[in-house]
This record gives sequence, C-alpha cells and structure tokens, in this order.
Amino acid sequence: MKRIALFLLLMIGLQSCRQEVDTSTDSRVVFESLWKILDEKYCFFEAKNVDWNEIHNKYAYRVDTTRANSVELFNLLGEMICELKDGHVNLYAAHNVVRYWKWFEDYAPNFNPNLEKNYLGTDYLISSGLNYKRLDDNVGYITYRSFSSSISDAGLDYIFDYFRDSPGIIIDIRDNSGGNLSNVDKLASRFTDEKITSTYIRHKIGPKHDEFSDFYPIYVTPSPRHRYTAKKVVILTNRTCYSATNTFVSTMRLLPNVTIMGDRTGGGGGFPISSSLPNGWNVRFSSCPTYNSAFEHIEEGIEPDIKVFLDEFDEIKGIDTIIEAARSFIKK
Amino acid sequence: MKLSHFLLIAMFSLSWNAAAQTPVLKSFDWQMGVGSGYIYDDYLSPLPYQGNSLLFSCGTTKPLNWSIPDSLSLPFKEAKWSNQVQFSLNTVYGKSPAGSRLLHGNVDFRDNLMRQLIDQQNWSVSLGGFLALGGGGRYCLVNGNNPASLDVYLDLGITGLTDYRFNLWNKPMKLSYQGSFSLSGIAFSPEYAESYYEIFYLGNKENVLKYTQPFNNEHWRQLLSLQIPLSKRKSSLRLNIQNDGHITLYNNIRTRVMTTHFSVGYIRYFNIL
Repeated sequence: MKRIALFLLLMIGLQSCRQEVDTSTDSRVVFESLWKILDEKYCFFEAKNVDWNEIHNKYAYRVDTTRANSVELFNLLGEMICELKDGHVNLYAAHNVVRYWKWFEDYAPNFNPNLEKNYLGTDYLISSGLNYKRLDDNVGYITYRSFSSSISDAGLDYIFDYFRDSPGIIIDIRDNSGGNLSNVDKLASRFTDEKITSTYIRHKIGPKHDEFSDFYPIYVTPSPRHRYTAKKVVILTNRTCYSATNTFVSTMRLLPNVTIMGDRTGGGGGFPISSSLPNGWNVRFSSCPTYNSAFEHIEEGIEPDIKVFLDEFDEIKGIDTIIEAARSFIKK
Repeated sequence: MKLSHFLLIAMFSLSWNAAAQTPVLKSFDWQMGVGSGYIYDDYLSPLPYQGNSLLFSCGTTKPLNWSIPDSLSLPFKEAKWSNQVQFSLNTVYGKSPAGSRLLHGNVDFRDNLMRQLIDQQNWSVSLGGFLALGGGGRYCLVNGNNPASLDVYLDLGITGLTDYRFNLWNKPMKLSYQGSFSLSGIAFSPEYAESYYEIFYLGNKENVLKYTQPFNNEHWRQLLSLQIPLSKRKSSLRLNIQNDGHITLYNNIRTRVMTTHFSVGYIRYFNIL
C-alpha cells in the first residue's frame, strides 16, 4: 500500500508542477499584464522610436486610483496603447473598443461615397466584393472596399474580358481599410507576367525589442488565368487605405503598367495578433513588420505616384477629381 | 522490424533468449475516461485554461520472441520481451479565469518495447523504451489572426511497468503502474511571434522543427490501473487513473498541457498459436 500511496503522491506532485500565472483582476495586475504583452511581442518600438519603459512610468502611477474592471482603467490603458500610434493596436471590452484612428482622421478623406454613385450609377455589375462598370469614355472602373470580401477567379476572368476593349482600368480602393492578405495575392497576381518579390516580412524571435528574424520575401506569382498586363491600370488611394490594402498598394506600385493615384495610404504594415488580459479584456497589436521591396517599413503609409486631392468645388458639382484625373491619365 | 524496435534495441543493448513455441496470450484493451485538464500556451494567451477533459484510448500488448521473427511464441508469463501499442485521443474544453474559452485536442500513438527484469510470484517489473508520434492543437476562441497553435512531436523515451498481483474476494486482481518519460525527439514549433500564415501560406519553415530533450520537453504519462477479472483468462475490467503532462519551451514559447483522467476499460485476452 505504501507503494501505491507513493505513486499517487507522485501524480499529484507532477500535476502541481505549474508555473503559476497571476490571474487577479486587480487594476495593477491588468495594467502590468498589458504592458508586458506589448513589451514582449509588439514589433514597432524601435521603428517608431517609442520608449516603452518611459510610457510605463508615465501611466503606472495612475493605475492605483482606478477600480478593477472600471471604465477609468479601460480609458487609462487605452491612452497608454494609443501612444504607439498604430491602427492595429486595439483594446476590446464588452462596452467599448480602444482604437487609434488618427492615421485617417487627421487628414482629408479624399473620398465621397455620394460621388461614387455618379460614376457607378445603378446598373453596375457585381462580382463578389468588386463593383464594376464601363464609364462613358469606355474606361473600366472597379471599386473594391474591403479585402475581407472574397474575390472569385471566375469573376476576375469575366471582369478582365468585359474590359478588353477599354483603354485601361481604374481600381478604386479608397476607404478600403484592409482584410485578408490572400485576396491581395489573388488580385495582384492578375497584373504581372513575372514572379516578383512584392514585400518582405519579419517576425519576432524573442521578447527583446530588437529580436527579429531575417527578412522573408513575399512573392507575387503570375496567375495562370486571365491577366491584365498590357494596358494602363490606375489604383486610387486615400488615407483610409490600411493594412492589407496598404500591402496591395506596396505590391502594385512595383508593376510597370500600374500607377498609384490619390493620397498617401494610411499604413498598417504590421501583421496583428491577439492576446488576453486577466480580466477578460482582449488586446490586438502588430507583431510581424512588413517592408516594401526596398526593405523600408510601410507602417507609415505609401506615397502615390501621382498625388491628387478631391477638389471641393468639383465635389459640389458631383465630380470626383481623383477619378477624373485617372481617366485623363489612362486616355493620355 | 519496426524502426522503434531497432532504436530501442540499440539504446538498451540488451540480449534475449529463444524459447519453445507454445500458445500465448495477446491482449486488446479499450478505455474511456473523464477528468480535468490544465492548458497554458503563451503563444495564444498569457492566461491558463482549465476544464473538463475526455479520453479515449485503446491498445494491444503481446509478448515477443526475437529469435524467431514474426512469432508470438512464448507463453505470456514467460516472455522476457513485450510490445505494447497504444493509441489515445484526448480533448479538453478549458476556461480561463477571465472567462474566455480554449479547445485542446491531442492524438498520441506510441509503441512501447519492454523487457521483464524482475518476475516474482506476486510482482514483476519491466523496463523499456517507447517511440511516440503525436499531434494536436489548441484553438482559442477569442483570438483574431492567431487563433490556433499546433502540436506535432516524435518522442523517444523510457517506460517502466510494475505489476502487483493479489487476491481480493477470492478473485485474482492485478494492480499496475506504468510511467513513461520522453528523453529525446523532434517537435514542431513556430518561432516566438511567427504567424501560421507565414509558415503555411508563405512557406517560411525555417527553425520550426526543434530537437527536444528533457530541458525543453517534459513529456510524461503515468497510468495506475486495477484489473478485475470478468471471465477466467479471457477478459478483465480495468479501472485507471491516467496522468499526462507535456511541458515545452521552444523558441521562447511556453506550453503546459496536463490532464488527469479516471477511466474505465475492458481488456480482452486472446490465445494465439
């Protein structure tokens, strides 16, 4: 019986070999947990020249005045993470979402959805997330407002065939704030005849701020289906082009027949992941930085080839200055 | 000869003897169990998850005689070597202190080869090694781009089995304890903050296979079981307490999966000529 008792004790002993995690919902524990998650896994401290220890000191003394799970604590944590100035950093609770949106709120929108109707009308065609139409001058016009909307291969084949007699096409991705990178790949692969290195990605290999992997290339391979590479393509952008859309722009600008027109994109060059705080709030943050083909960060956005802003007098007349500039460029 | 047998023979460098061909017993067993699980995976969350766990396992045990290939020729009791093949399926539905949920699943297939070192009237001790191939993963229901993490491992380890035979209410009972611990192997792990999108969509597989040893991979199984005969030499009821633990530290990612189950099983013995 002694042996049996010994075995049971061994089992209980091994079961208790756990590294205890502080799961208290105390404000201090939640604050430290959030700070540590970002300290170890956020990827842009060095690129943005953020002193995270200093930010800890700036906010830590205010934590003890907040109640556990309170709106005050949530707001304080929100203030702290907004110091990162990153649209991919969010704090989620049942009552609210902390977000940093100054990457587009501080700039002119350069997009008016009411003007879009003047171009698409009501008889436009729809293929998955793409709306498209031949404009009066036969220029092809496609809008794509979210990379979360799936794109079908058959749909793209039809669209390019539909625009076969057009002098070029406009792809309007203004106000497209991102989505799935697989859709970026699928769409971009229709505009190149060669395999290109479109972007690079790295990931953190340890908790220190400078522990990163090598640069890994991301390729765009020509689609074996219908491609659109012989005529002009103009991509319309504004500050709300973010995340996957930003990656799409970074890729498309490498292609010889493609021109980026409009305003600088909003950025969002970090691949975001999520984690949890002890009180049940969730945090999202950038963990893998992406770079353009010249190894430059695209977190702060991408300049267009041709900068064009929406003119307010045109707007009053129902004209979208940027679409008109793209039409002229294609017909030139 | 299976690769696992070859490796284990090389590892232990033990010798064996031939014996005469006589009928033997081979056993098949099935178990179903319930218990509790503890999951921690800091790739997904810094929070621990605890919850109910389900276990299904089955396996076979047979004696081996190495001098006559493909034979099962020794009487079970006299066999010096035995081969135990085990398959187990485990799921845990865990909840964190914050209320978030995580689903864990694991499949484990292991081939044990043991040599009986002590065989007394009431008790025996066998020692050997095992090769385990397993995998599974965890799915965190609240995460966005990183909802899941994957486990794949190939482990080589040691295992020990002790049996104690006694009579209770005029029935021959057997109390067994088997402990297994991994010594070496390989396992899959993403790098610290590497996304699965990067590994499987972009194909960046550098450094995802890790050499494992007890300093970065504590992987054990303990099984305490009581066998109660149902019919003479044909079948037994088996009551088990099984404790499994897998603690890893690869690429600065810590994981801990620990489960304890109470299971009820059935063993069927077959005479094989």
